[in-house]
Amino acid sequence: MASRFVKNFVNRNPRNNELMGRQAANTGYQFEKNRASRSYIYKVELVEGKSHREGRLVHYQDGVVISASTKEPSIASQLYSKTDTSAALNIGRVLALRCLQSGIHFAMPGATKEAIEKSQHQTYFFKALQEEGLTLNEPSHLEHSYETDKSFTWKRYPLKPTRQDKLDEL
Amino acid sequence: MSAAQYARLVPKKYRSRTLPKVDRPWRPRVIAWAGPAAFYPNRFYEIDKWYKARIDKPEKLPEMHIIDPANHMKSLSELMKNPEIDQINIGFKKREEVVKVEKSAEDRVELERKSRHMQLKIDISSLASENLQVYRHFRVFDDLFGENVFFENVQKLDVAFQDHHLVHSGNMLTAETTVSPPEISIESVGKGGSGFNTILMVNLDGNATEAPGELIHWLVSNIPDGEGIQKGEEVMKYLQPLPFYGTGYHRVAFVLFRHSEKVDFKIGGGSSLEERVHSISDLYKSHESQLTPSAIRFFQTSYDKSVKTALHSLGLKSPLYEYEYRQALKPAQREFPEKPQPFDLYLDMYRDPKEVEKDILEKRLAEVKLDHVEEPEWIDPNWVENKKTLPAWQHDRILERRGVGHAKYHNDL
Amino acid sequence: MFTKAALSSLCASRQAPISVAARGIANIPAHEYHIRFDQRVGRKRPAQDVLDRFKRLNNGMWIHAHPGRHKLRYMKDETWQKTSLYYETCTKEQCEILDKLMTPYWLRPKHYPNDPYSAYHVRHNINSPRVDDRGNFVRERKKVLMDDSTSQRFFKDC
Repeated sequence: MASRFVKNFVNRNPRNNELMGRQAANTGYQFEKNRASRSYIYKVELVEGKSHREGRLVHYQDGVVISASTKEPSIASQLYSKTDTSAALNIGRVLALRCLQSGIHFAMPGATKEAIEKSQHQTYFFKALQEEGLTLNEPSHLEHSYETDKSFTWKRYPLKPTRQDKLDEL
Repeated sequence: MSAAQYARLVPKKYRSRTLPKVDRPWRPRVIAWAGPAAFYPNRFYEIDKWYKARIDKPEKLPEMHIIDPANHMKSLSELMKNPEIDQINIGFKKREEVVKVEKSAEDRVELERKSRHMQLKIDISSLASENLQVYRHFRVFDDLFGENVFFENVQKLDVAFQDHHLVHSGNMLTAETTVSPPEISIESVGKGGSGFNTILMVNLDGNATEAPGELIHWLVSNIPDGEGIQKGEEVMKYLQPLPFYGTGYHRVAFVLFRHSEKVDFKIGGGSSLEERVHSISDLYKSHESQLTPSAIRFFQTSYDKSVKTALHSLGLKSPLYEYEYRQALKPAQREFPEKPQPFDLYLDMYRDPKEVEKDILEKRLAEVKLDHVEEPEWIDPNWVENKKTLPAWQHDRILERRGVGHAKYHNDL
Repeated sequence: MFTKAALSSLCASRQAPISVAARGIANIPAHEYHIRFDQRVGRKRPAQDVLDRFKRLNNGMWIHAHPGRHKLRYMKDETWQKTSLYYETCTKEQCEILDKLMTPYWLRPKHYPNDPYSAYHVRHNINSPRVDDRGNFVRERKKVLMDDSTSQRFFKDC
């Protein structure tokens, strides 16, 4: 007996659009100093506490998804110190492995380039992430256009705003 | 001119016999005939010049938005946050991890030396990582058992497909590696060999039938504690995951249930796709008193050639799905737009896509000849001429090599 | 003396300033701007300036090139470089005034071979009445007159 497939198939996987590259990353707020800091789907960051190092993978909607911390006894037992550079490095390795085990291969770095260069902990943390196979960059999403959707047969066009339009915006 | 003025200005000799009606009120009649627009001053040449009187347009106020001050006391991140709801644990109590932390002085010296030289690499593969947040992130619990429900991973469950492809918490596996059933090892937790395990493999996104539910790929029940999978009853035979073409990534979960007595799942053993579709939450609800979930693993797969061959071997055709985008936002069409719009692009927005495609096809057939089907080498050989003579919008059409213009030569309609 | 060609060129040069002056005047009201009754022809004459500068689509929409698009291009910004090249639509009032400056001949729908505007002579998905007060179709080719609900069922291009 031949099966009949539904005409409209719904994939319930909440991460599907992100994985297929259809989800656009946020662009940040207009008057923000560093807009790029909010432009990510996943970002990895190292939280340097007083007595612990914690690596986090943050999703733009769901917040912290994966974390690796020296608070975990199985990690701490193998380290000499919970706060030194080698702790940051190992936290990076653990976090990268956990990300890959959860199917997350791309993430933006959660610190600016200057901040990473300035701090040795951050440098080793992000280097370890890369060495373990996490890509510290996110591929840009696919635009909705005629190429992706055949019913999109028109184009968006720019319009020069008039004086009145600009006044109305305020 | 009134009658008195006429009399004053025109000598009697030249006056007409009857008084000419020069002063008759003609304007209201014309307004009645042609409408008031007939007398509007013609100002549209220089609309907003400083030396002209401005034209007062009726001010159009936007709709009022109701702003509740109570909402403004919170920050944006607080407003966006989902309200926290108490989650119900349907599984076992979390197991306490016992890690022995005994470092001798020599060990510490060695560790110190290694970490100083950045050579200390801890053993990351043996770390236990049970992070429920990932499962919530992928909505695995919600789609299996319903909202606001979770359980802890308390029993060790290793699922390995061919070539040592382990299943973790959402890692990617190609469909090809999942062709044959995985090797599953289940930790023995019962005292004195009592208790049973049931393993369930389910595709949360693979249901392509009208019936609600999930697609069960494998169900082995009543595995005695500490024994291999072969000792259990295979209620449903193994079927490889079938992520259909164009549907993206499917979550395939392995759920381990623990029960003290034997359980009879009243599921027919039919192996067609329709007979495999069952609502997992209903299934769990009907055996809730016996079953307790104790471990979960899941992976993600997408379409692969092996899916097609598997479907063909089932006697089915491989369905081709295409992502349906939400319709792109465009302003509501007006017969005469308020602001000047580029007429071609504006009218294009509201044309029927089918008609546009028909147009493209006609253009193709007009231009393309049998001996010359390919895209011309030069986009616009007489660019200089066209730039001078053609209007810009027509010239842009010729130069267009993306979108609809691309389709003129590459017919994948 | 003067050859015939030279004479005609002289006449042309004498006529030129008049016509230029006539074009430069912008704020003459529309009802005075065109010749409502030309004695030589014996009827109304369409405003030649409108015919030169505007185009009427068969659906009643007038379009025109952006005025001043060649002026000082180098000192204007990037968006303007693009938007100034558009052929723009007119508002409803402008369209009505321009229609008044025309003779019925120019208001009739026209069909040309290889017309680049052919796709834009009919409007799609518009719900405003298709018929004016005299029962003529406003923006489309002549058809049998029927009520709107019936016509929207059978004719897509209204």
